[in-house]
Order: sequence, then structure tokens, then C-alpha cells
Amino acid sequence: MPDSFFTASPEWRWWIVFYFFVGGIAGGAFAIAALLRLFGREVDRPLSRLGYYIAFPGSIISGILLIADLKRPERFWHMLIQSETFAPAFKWWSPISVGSWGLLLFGLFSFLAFVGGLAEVGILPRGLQALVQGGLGAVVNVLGGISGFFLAGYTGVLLSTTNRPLWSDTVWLGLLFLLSGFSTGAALLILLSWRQNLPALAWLKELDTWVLGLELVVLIVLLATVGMAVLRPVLFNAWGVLLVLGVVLVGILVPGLLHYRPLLGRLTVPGAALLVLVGGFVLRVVMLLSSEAA
Amino acid sequence: MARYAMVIDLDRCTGCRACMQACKVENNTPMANFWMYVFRFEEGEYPNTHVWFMPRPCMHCDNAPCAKVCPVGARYKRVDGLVATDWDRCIGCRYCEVACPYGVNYFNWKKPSKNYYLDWQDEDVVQVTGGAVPPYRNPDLDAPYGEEHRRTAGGGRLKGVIEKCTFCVHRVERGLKPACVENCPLFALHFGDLDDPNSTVAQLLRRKPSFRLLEELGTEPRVYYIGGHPPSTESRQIEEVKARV
Repeated sequence: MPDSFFTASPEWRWWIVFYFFVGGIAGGAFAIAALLRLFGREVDRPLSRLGYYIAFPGSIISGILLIADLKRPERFWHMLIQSETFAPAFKWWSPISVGSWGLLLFGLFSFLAFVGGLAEVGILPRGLQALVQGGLGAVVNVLGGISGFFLAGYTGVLLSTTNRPLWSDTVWLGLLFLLSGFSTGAALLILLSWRQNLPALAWLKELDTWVLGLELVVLIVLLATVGMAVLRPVLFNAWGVLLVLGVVLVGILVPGLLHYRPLLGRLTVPGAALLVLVGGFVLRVVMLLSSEAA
Repeated sequence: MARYAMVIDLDRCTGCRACMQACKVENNTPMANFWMYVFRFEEGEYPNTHVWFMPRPCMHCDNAPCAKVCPVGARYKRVDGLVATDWDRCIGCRYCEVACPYGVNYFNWKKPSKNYYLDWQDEDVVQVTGGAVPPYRNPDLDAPYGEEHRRTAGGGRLKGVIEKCTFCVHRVERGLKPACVENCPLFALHFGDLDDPNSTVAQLLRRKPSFRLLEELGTEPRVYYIGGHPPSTESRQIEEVKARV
């Protein structure tokens, strides 16, 4: 009898699927933007600004999706503040508690970077561009990048600390979601900037290819280590087919090929990016809902 | 301070499910929520089969995974060992539900008043009752309990919060036993203080070999089983239960 015989499904469905997907993109996009800002050149700034423009709305949408899934959404503030004493509510040993604070911090830093980015292009007062430049800008980028890195990966750890089939049978979900967050974040950056022919685009495509390769390796390790007793009820069905076709083929192998061979002509670059995004979404769908179906 | 525990004698249990019924009546739990559930297992191959029964309340673990993961402290461990849920604090994230390896948590997806076997506000029912017969609700469930003075007793409180067995905290604090223990006709369920050497639970655990469910997970359950064995790969659940158990 498996450990998960008695366990019950939490019925985490589409709100959570979209939260994991959007949170991954936002975190990944900001982390890439921060890397470009900290180690890139002056000409890379438009791409890093685009990362800020993705990250802040992404953090807002993530918060909304997370709250929407709560069945007492009006009590969402209990995650941050204790309802009786109004002291901060932080449990470092609870992934949801840590995740709530991580999302809040990411929202704060991505907001600062968003404002700084708008100031750089003259939409907001020029003085605010200090938020993404110089010493203060470095602090915002480093802390925002770390929280983005965290946001992209903690969702997998959250699943691993349960007692449900598949989720609790592997320690690789956190790394898989982190890599997927990076690849989808990079893909959205490519998709939104490919017409501008930015110098950093080639680097971004190379980064995306490497991350996709790592993602495939981690996915194979994950599947190889959970064992047949888990795979049979969870993935030897339509979910498994979707994983192979939607994630491995459409989301990893085909875009990886397109990064080397322009098989779609001028649509190759956006086409590959779009497929990576589709694969990242399908990955969340399969990982969440296949366990629910077991 | 007492250290409460339950001992379940599997040799005595006949699967009558009086404990399940008593729990429902005492705690006013909504339909399909079985805080105490009696599993019916079959082992062996026909005609050499063996059927046995395993009551499963909340394990009130000392190392409770549900309390660990609860992001808001709504699920917590009391000093006397009971694992309680504060309905007023729960945000409905259901993380406790997936963290618990015993599946003892039940989520109120529907408004509880609409999720009883009989909806007393239903117009067809009101035509018969004339509205004169109120639904029974145990008044003891509404008081705050424990040193923390939090509302943790009973079920069917709110839509969108999690519920589970409380070891009948409202009875235990009055010196009574949980309803399932009190109503078991075969004395298969025992409840008491592990630190009291004269308590039935302490005596039974001294006298007989015992096991705890999924002990290897390190949850340190406060429910002990005697007179049987844990379900294994040979054990098959012998009924299709419509409700989630």
C-alpha cells in the first residue's frame, strides 16, 4: 500500500496552474533582467527594462491568482499578519508562508524596478531612474533577482512537501519549475523584443537553449527516480502523453531545434519562443493535474 | 498537563461504524465528512480471505505535518497534544489536506447548512415541519477552548474552511471521552492520558504490542493500534465509497 493511500486531493486546479506559470515567467524574466543590468552593457538596458515591465504586472497577477484560489479570500492577509495580535505571520518552515512573503518582496522590488524603468524612458521623472542605476539600482536588482529566482522555484518545493502521488515522490520539482521559469521568462522576453533586433537577443536565445537542455535532463531524472509504482497510476495515461508531446516535444525539443535551424523563416524566433511558453504551461498542467487524477 | 492518546483494538472492532455515527451526531459534521472513518479491508484470495476493520480518526500527531505547513497558524498543536483548527483563522488554502498522510482533513466546499442530509431551510421540508423543528446543533461546539481560547470544536461552521476530528475537545475539556470512544459497543476504542500509568491507554500499551499508522513517516501519531497489523500491499479496500474518506 503506497504512503499516499489515505491522502486526499486539495483540488488545486486552474488558478494554481496559472499562478505557477505566471509566477515562473515573472520571476525568470526579472532574474534575467537583473543579470543583464548587473553584468551587461549599456545597449542591453532596453531588454532589461522589458524584463521589469513583465515582472511587476506578473507579480500582481500572481497575487490575484493566489488569493482567488483561497476559499476565504477575504482572509488572505492572515498569511502576512496574525489576525489577533497583528504581529507579522512568518513560518520559515511552511512553504506557503515563505512563498507569500517571497511574492510580497518580489512585488516590491519588481515595482521599484518597473518605476525605474519607466523613469529611464522619460515616462516618469528622471530622478527615479536611480532605482535601477548605480548603487541603489544594484541593490534593487540583486534583491529582486533573488526573490524572482525564489518565486520561479519555490512552487515546486511547495508540491514536494505534500503527501500526494508524484509530488511527494521527488525532490526535483523545485529545480524543474525553476528552470522552466527561466526558459519561459526568456521566451517571453524574446517574443516581445524579436522585432527590435536587440544585441542581447542572441545571448538570450543561447541561454534559453541551455536552460531547455537542463530542463530536459532534470525532467528525465525526475521521472527515472520516482519509480514505476508512482508513474503507472499518474502518468501512464493521457497525462503522460501530454507530458511527452506537450512538454518534451513541443516545449523543449522543437524550440531547441529552431534555435539552431530557421525552419520557419522569419517566424522562427517568435515561433520557438511561443512553443517554449506552451511547453512551460503544459508542464504545470501535467504536474499539478496528473497527481490530482491519481 | 495530560498527554492525550487513543488506543484502538483491531481485534475487537467488528466494523459496525457506530463510532462514525456518534461522531457525526456529536460534531454536526456535514454530509460526506467522516472525521472518524472505519476502513474495511480484505486480504488473501477466495475462498481463503480475511476481512478486517480499521477505524481512522485524526492521528493528532506530535510532529503534525498539517500544523507545520499551515501558513497562518490556524492548524496548531495544543499543549495537551490535541491538534486543533481555528475556523476563524483558516484561509482555505488546503495545504494541510495534502500534507496529511492520513487524509483526515475535510474541506467545506459548500455552505454547510446546504450540505447536511436534510436541509431544514428547504421549502419542501418547511412545508412538512412548518418551520417548527430546528436542526439539532450541539451548543457545546460554539464555545472557545484551550489555553489559546480559540473556537476549535465541532464541524459545519463555514464554507471555505478545513475541518477534522478534534478528539471531541469540547467533551475532553469537561473530563468526558470522545463520542466515538463512548459509543463503541465493543470497547475497541480507548482514550486517556499517556502520562497517567493507571489510565486504560497506558495499561493497554504496556500489556500489548502496538503500532502506529505510517510510523515510518516520522509524524509521531497519538493514535495507537493493538491486536492487528497495519494495512499492507496485500490489503484491499472492499467497498466503493461514494464520499471521499
